[in-house]
Amino acid sequence: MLGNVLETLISSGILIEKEREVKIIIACLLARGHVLLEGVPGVAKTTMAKAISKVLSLNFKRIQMTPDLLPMDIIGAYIYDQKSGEFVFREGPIFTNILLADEINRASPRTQSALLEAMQERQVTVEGRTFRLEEPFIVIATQNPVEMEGVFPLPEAQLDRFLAKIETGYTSTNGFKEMLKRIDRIDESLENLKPILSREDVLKAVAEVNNVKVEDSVYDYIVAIVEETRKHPAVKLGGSPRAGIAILRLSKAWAYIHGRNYVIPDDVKAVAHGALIHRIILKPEYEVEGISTASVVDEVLRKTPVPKP
Amino acid sequence: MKTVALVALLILFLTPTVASSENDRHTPGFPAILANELFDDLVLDSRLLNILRGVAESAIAGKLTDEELANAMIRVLNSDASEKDIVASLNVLSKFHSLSKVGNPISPDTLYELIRNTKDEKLFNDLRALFEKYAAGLATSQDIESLINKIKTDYASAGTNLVDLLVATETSQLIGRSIGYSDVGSLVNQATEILLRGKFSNLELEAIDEVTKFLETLNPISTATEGLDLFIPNLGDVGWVTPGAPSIGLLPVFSVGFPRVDLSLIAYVAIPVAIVLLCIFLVKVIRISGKLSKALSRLAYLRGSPVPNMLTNLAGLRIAIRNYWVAVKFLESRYGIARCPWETHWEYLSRISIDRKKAFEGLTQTYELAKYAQDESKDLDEKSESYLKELIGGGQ
Repeated sequence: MLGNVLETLISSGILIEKEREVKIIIACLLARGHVLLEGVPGVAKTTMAKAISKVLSLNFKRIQMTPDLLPMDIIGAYIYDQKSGEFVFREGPIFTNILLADEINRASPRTQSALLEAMQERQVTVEGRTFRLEEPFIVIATQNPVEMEGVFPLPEAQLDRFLAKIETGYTSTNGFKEMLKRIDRIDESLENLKPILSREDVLKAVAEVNNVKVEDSVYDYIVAIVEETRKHPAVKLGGSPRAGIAILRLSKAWAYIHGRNYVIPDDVKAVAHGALIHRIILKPEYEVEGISTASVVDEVLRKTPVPKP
Repeated sequence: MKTVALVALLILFLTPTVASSENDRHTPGFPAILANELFDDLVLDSRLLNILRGVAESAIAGKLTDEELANAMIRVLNSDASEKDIVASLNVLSKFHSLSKVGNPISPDTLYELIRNTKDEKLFNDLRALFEKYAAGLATSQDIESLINKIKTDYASAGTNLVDLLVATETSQLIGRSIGYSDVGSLVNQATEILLRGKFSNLELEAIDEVTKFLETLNPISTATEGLDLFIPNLGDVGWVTPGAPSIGLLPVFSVGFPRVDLSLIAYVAIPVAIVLLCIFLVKVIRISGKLSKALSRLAYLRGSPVPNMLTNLAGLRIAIRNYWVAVKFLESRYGIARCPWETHWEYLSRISIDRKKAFEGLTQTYELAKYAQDESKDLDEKSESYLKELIGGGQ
């Protein structure tokens, strides 16, 4: 059924050359994680999130992060109700299924950490009262890689809370041309998108992902990949155990999306980028040479032998 | 004699302090070395020493293979010893090639293990290209020559890591020996000399050169004869003899930390030599029988017999898994499409473009279900058998 979701999203013409990104976001949703989308403005980040929420019958909200945004603007607050003469809790935009936190690095560290804490706990506590967030819940945070002024870069520990990071760029020349041809119909197509799965179907899929089988040698393969990142000469800090857990959870979801109830090394390779690039810290001398974490992960995947026989 | 010479070289190299402390008891022929303070500064990590000692023992027993040498190099590379010690150890190990048995092609897995930690990306890609050709049975002497020339010129002048360069020359040597390229040894020696002369401290090199020069002056036949006829009766001590040296009691070259060699035992050399020769003969017979069994195995597959189970090292695996690897070996040997260690089964399939690709696709699918989905149905094995027959036998 998830195959139909992907097919609909791709064939609708709303998302051009975004198949990989869509798959990773859905994998994160199924693995109960959150995703950090890094890309320049205008590469269909919002459209992608809206389209996914629509076909999955999920609620969608968007917050534009700014330096003056307060934690209560995201989480919600108690306000005085004149009719009842009591303070009632007014839910913030975090009470949704898919939350797009646009330009997360523009928010102040205090607001960032309130959001990231809620992401981790999947609940919020206001005035001593705890409110559980509705499942499924995924935050798609975006950030612009170019802007360096007036931003508060996420520290490594906070980055670790995102199950995956996607670096999305411009489409190819042909893709761009195709997009221009369809531009007038994109909004209409988005409106016309019909839900394919219900919220219950998504929750059932989340539960089924947990039962995806992982053969022993695949665990060895994941361990080898993470350990290899620590040995790379350009790496100051390699993958943590949490990086291995992220690869495993994403691999299971990736296998499920592809209609399998078992993980193969191809799944691990497909998700390794997303799970590792934001968890590796390079040595400054290699960074200035233009080496990126993505190229390090590429090299690690090229060097790590797959399970045999 | 060559073995003895190399062992002497190794031990002298590794026990400089001991040797230098016995200046007054040196063997004639060694004065320039043992009296030299050169050895005072030579120190090697004890773990590396053990690896080198293991190789020396294999060499003495006449059972040293390139595979074992390569494994020793891998262990040296994986040790956390200093770069200087690693370079010195690789250099000593490279001297053992002449004692290693020929005609034992090195396995791609070992070779890949040797090159996989190459830090220089460009050099790694060059090595990988050569490795892939070798794994596909397509490596030629020209490929090796061109890589060695590149190492001597481009890489050496670019200041590439010395360990990487030595790994590259050794890889070339191992591949060259495996494909029967007889000149590879001298080419690699020249390259190593250039690399080490240019970049490495000359202390160890000088020591090795000195010892090598001395060892070259030893004539195996006359040494044995004179040793037996002239020296042993009057000797009463242990050590090596040099032709033309004054007939005095020869003193031990190595004394502390290593077993002394009793020269009187040389009288019994003939028996061990005969045993060693017999062993070599047996090894050759085993090797020939190995080739024969492989041929039988292939024949058996073509006939759909279960015999291969016993004949190949894939025995014990589930049929669907075993058949997949048999098919991979078949594609590697027949079409030269080697499966790289980092390639997944689907990535490998995507590179296959043969007439019977569909059969291999079926094998890939059944392999995946048997290994990763742990599907235990018998039907899967039967399907796999029919796909294998179709692939190897052409669909009978």
